[in-house]
Amino acid sequence: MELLRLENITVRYGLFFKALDSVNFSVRDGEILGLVGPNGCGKSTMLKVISGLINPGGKIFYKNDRVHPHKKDIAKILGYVPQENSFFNKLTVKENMKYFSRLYNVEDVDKKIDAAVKSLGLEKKKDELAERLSGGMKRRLNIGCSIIHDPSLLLLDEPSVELDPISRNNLWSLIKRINQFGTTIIISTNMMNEAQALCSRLILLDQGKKTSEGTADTIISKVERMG
Amino acid sequence: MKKRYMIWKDIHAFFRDFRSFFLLFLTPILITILVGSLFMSSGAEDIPIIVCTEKPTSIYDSTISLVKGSGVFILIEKQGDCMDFIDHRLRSGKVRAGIIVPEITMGSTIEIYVDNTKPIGTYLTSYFNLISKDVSNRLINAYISDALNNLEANEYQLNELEAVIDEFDFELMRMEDSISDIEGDLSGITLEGMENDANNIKTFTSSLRSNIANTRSLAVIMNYTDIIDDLDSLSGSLDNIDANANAIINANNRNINLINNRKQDVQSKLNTMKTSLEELRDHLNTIKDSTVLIKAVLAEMKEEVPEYSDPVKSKVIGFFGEKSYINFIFPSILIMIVMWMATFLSSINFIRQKNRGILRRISVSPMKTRTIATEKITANAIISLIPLPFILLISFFILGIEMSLFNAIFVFLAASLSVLVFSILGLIIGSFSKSETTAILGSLIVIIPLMFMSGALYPVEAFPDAIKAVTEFLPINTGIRLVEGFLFYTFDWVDFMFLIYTMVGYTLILSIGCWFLMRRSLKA
Repeated sequence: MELLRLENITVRYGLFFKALDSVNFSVRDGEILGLVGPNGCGKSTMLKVISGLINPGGKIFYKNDRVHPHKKDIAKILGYVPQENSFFNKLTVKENMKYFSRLYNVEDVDKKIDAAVKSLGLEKKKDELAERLSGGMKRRLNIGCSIIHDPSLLLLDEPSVELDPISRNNLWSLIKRINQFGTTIIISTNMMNEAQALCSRLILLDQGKKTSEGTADTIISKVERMG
Repeated sequence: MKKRYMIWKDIHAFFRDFRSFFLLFLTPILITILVGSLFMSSGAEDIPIIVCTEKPTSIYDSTISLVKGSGVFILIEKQGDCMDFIDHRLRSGKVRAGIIVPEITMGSTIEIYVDNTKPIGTYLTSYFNLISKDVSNRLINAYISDALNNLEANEYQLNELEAVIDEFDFELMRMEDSISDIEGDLSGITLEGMENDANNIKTFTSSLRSNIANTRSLAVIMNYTDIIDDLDSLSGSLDNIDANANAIINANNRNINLINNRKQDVQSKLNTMKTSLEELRDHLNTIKDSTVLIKAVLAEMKEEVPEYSDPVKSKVIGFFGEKSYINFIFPSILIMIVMWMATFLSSINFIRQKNRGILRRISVSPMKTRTIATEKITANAIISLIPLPFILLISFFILGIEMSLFNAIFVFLAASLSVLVFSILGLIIGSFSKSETTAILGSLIVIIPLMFMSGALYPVEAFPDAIKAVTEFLPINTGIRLVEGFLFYTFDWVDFMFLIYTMVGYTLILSIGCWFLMRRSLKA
């Protein structure tokens, strides 16, 4: 089932530069969709469009209904994980999660936090200041702050950048687990192994345009052929 | 080589942020222009001041002319209810000084009440102390002019009196001459002469009588009866003449005695009058000589007032009590600290959260921008408020600022309003900025001119007119006046509400600006 459809999405920066140029694609319910491509191809911009941070040209449909994310009409079902660790270093894990849960009027917060820290593997660190966590833990907390309100659609902007292989594997497992609970995920990444490990489908972007779409294996072989 | 490259890249990275680049040049230029223009005027001007008296006198006029002539003040003249009028206007900050000119002039004191809560107070105190001698001299001159005018009027009257005396003197002389004439006339009429005349008449009548007797004898002989009858009748007439002659002699004697007595009396009185007139003339001459002398002395005094003369004293009084100056500068210091803290803290806090992606995460949530703005304003305002009680405690215990607990509570509340306004201002700067450098430069561009324009460091009255008009409504000045009001009881209900409305107005306008800029900033 189609969860989200984007038609002719165009984003301009200034008069001449098009960060996204008439991009069309859809997101299926329950899948992990990867936005891949080199740096500056428009992956992060696309996530900002879906999250409502940018008001683009074109149309967006959520379950076949026209929506305007910049007007926050799908904000409740969205979870957005920025590229950088976007939480308060001087708050504990629990406090950070509580803070961000308040943005979504989450009920029964404490129970949800307990469940979340358990699934994030941060149970023993929940009262620890965020700044004292390891890099991998910080990434997990970064995701945790965005899933505390049980979003239907989770946007991950290059989630495993600068992580060591073990932390990266742990993070991937976490993302898969989140997906198994029914959350549709869109990941932007320029790491093919990450896309291959996580995504069921990939959209290949280059210079703001969609160049390919297909399964991870198809796209990866296409990229390899292109050299 | 590596070092040079690193230096170059550091600079390059800084200039890549257009706003930092822009503000790097704009900040010093704007601050120089703004702060520099504050000090362009040659000195304090248009200081609003009241000159009041219960009843106008020459000293009042002289004081008015002195104040007008100084070119420093905007004069408000008032008659009656001086203390109330000055009290109200000094408390509400509408004037900086009030001069009460006393009704009774000689030996009285002119009271000059100065708003000692502002730097201009120090200036005015020095100014009035410096010119107090001049005030005194001007007042003495007014006295001298008055005295000279009076003397000239007296002199005119003395001259008129002298003319009357001269006329009187002349009349006396004429009277004396008349008396002399009468005397001469009287001297011609002597008792002996008149007696002789009477006796001659009597001798003549006796001779006639003898002739009549002879004639009668002849008539008897000749028996001329008619002639006898006529001669008898003539003899009877001669008897009457004799009797009249005797009566005249007696009356003459009496009159001459009387005239002699009267003459002596008149002469004596005339002499007394002449003596008095001479005395009066002597006095008149003495007065005229004295007047000339006094006029000369006064004219000399008018040129240069002698050191010992001090008929009117002037006393400069600090209207809000003779406390140490720290008490009066304290509200300004407090609000300046609050401004620095709230503006910097809010702007830098905001830019940090923005650069860490926290704001982006918040802005994709269902929370509306106005809710985010309200939350950020409130949080930053509360953080900025935390040091406030400590500042008040330090001020009380270490700086010795005079305030009661009641004062302190209201000062805290008044300062809280400033904290709120400057927190919003900080968020506006933060929303506009893309880096901490921009936020710092942006904050400086706002804070430094506001600090100078607060009038805490330099009198507002010395600023150019255009800036002077603006300063009254600046949030920093409104904040300072609110704190001053609670600390020195300097405002009434209307002033208080005006200040509160001004702060609320700032809060609303800046909040709208903050919301607008934050919307743009969060989406970026």
